[in-house]
Amino acid sequence: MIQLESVGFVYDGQEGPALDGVSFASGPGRLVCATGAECSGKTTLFRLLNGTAPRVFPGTFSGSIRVDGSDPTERGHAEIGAIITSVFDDPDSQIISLTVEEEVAFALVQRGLEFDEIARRVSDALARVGLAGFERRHTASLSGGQKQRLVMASAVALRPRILLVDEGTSALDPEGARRFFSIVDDMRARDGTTAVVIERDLDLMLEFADEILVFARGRLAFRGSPAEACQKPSLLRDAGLRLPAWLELADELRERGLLEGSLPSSEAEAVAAIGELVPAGAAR
Amino acid sequence: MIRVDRLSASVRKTPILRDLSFSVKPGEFVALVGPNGAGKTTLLKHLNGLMKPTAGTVSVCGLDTKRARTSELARRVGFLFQNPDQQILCATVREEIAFGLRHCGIPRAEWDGRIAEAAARADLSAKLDADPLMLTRSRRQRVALASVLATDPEVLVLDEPTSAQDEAETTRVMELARGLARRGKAVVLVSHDMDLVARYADRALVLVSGKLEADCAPAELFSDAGLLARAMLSAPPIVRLARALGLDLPASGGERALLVRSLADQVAALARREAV
Amino acid sequence: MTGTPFIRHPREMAPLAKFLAMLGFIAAAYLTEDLRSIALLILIEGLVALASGAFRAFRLTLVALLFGALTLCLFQVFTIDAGRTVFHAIPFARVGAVTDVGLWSCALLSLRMIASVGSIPLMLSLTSQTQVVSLVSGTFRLPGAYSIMLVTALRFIPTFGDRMRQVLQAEAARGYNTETGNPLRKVGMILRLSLPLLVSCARDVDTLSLSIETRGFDPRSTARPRVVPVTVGDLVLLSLCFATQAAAVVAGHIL
Repeated sequence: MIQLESVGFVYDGQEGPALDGVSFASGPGRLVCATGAECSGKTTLFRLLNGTAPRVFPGTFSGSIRVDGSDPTERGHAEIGAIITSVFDDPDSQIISLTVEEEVAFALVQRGLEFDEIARRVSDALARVGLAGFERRHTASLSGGQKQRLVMASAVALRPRILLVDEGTSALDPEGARRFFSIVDDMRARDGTTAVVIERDLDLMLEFADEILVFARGRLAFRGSPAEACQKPSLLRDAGLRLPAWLELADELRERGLLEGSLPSSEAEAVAAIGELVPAGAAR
Repeated sequence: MIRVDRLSASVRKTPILRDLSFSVKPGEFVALVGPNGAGKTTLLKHLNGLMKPTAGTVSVCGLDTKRARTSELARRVGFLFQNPDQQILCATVREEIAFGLRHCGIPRAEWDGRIAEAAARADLSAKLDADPLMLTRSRRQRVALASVLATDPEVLVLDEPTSAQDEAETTRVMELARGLARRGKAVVLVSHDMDLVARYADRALVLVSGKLEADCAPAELFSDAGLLARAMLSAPPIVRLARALGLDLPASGGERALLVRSLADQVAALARREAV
Repeated sequence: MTGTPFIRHPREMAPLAKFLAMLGFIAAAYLTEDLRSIALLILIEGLVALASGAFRAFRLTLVALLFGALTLCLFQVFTIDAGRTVFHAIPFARVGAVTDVGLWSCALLSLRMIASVGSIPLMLSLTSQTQVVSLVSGTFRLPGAYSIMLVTALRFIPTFGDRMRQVLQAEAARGYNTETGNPLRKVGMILRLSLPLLVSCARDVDTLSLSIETRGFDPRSTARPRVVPVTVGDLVLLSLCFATQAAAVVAGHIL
């Protein structure tokens, strides 16, 4: 579905490469999370995948990139928009309509779908994101979390092959962020959508991702499953992420030689493993 | 420094805040927590006169917010908005920082010194001549922060300062805030990040549906399951972890690494005992 | 389709019919010079607004247009010399003559402006975005970019007030004195702060256009939005509308 081979990109007017020698491939129906410190290259990846680089963000591209068989750098973002939908972090700059149903209907109307079909898809999409019954509401009256869910609803209605998200949870509270990821996960499960999500919340990544990519200074520093990512706490820390408390503790205990073997990859695992060190009565 | 006395406020006839009373002393670091829509941002806006009380009084540094102008209060209250782009007006970072100095009536002679100091504390010394809008989001946040610090306010208000920040940035902002508190300023933080509240705040004001549900130390808040449920909050992950393992956490909060080490020490001690 | 009423609520009517009705109002306003006719047209528009549940927006439009018209008149009235002088703007100096012809032509200008321009927001408030897009790109087959422009304008204009307020608040919080009774100072302040307002809109427009394009809107695609069909019921209502517009014009000639 997505294939990158030795992809490199240098923005015009900048010296160093934003991306350098990045290779990875991902099949359909996968939730891939990309993370890293600021200017580590994850946003550049996002732009290359959705075709906005180099057209909107000029620069020199090297290597090869294929998304569902097409090259987004050649086709450009408008053309590739038919199979790739992008979601950004600020819902206010993505919502174009005055009412909820119009927002979800917008792209469908553009595509020339029949009005009956549009109405069906709109109510289905709204139900899937938990905004059922909100059809007539004014978009300006929605809360931040609801607005972001609305953006997701319009993405759901399009049933894209590929969904790209650029820090979609940054303006949301923890509950909203979790709900956001559940929607992405639902798209993956029901529609077979491949999602590439740029994210900073490690807890959510460990819970929902099939694969995690960590970028550092334009290179792919790590690629693997959440369980594998947990084995590299210092790499995650260097990427500017906040480690879950259980991983910090497990890492500290391993440093002290109290824990052996691989680090746990979930809170439950961690509590179980550490609990074994602690006398039976103490762990509640 | 801040005294809120029976404050009630309505926005377009809908009551948002009901009969709130509390005070914040110099040097205190207070966190304002609660579910969405509880009125936290509304309350913050009352602290610098952006909103005026419908009933009750708010007095900041001795000034009654109903009578004083927002620009007068601005000299004493530094407000860091959630979205830094709302504030950025000027063509260079230097001018941006100077903007606050100009309008707070700080003498021209002091400007250069203050700008340099604020830029240093926000790690922007190399970017003083850059266009703030061309900087990355976290640098823009720092520009807004520097501009607030330059006026040396008595009260610092932070409205969700950590959205879209990486850990290092978040820590920088919070450490700066803590530094201000240690120097005798009052800090009011609104955040949904309970980890930060646990680490930095001396007090937590729990706001639910416009009413002050509790005014206590963070540790007390996190050990009161009923209160947490009413406020739709959960204890920070490290607290939950400690509980799950049957370990204790130092009540006074502190650096994350220290807390983790404290837990590890306890595990080590218990494991030694077990081995014996 | 069972259950669909014969005469639909204006909101549900085909956008083409509403567009033609709007053209009817504009044409009628310019087909007559009788002030009473044009006033009657404005009354008809008001009744349509009332009957469709769009009166509040219409009233706002009326007020705004009234201000605009009066401002224009202030300039216009002094440029007309024909006719009998009714009074002088500065009496003792006999400067700024205002003639009866001048007053009449200003009244005509104002009423025409209100009747014609006022019909546009009325029509827009009764036309959903989907219908606008269907009309512009589907019926009129204009390039998709036009419907995007219209939709974006409709989306952004209501947000200017909020954005300006946000910017003003942020600046007040930094000590910028925004509370001033002096209207000139207030205007100067709004102008100065317009830059961040425009920057914020421009930035949003950037992301907005990317967001629209990456959500499958391709300006070069050949897919066209469906056309909302005009029903017989719509035609009946439209004919009724034309008839009342024509009656207003004729009434002026007869009476």
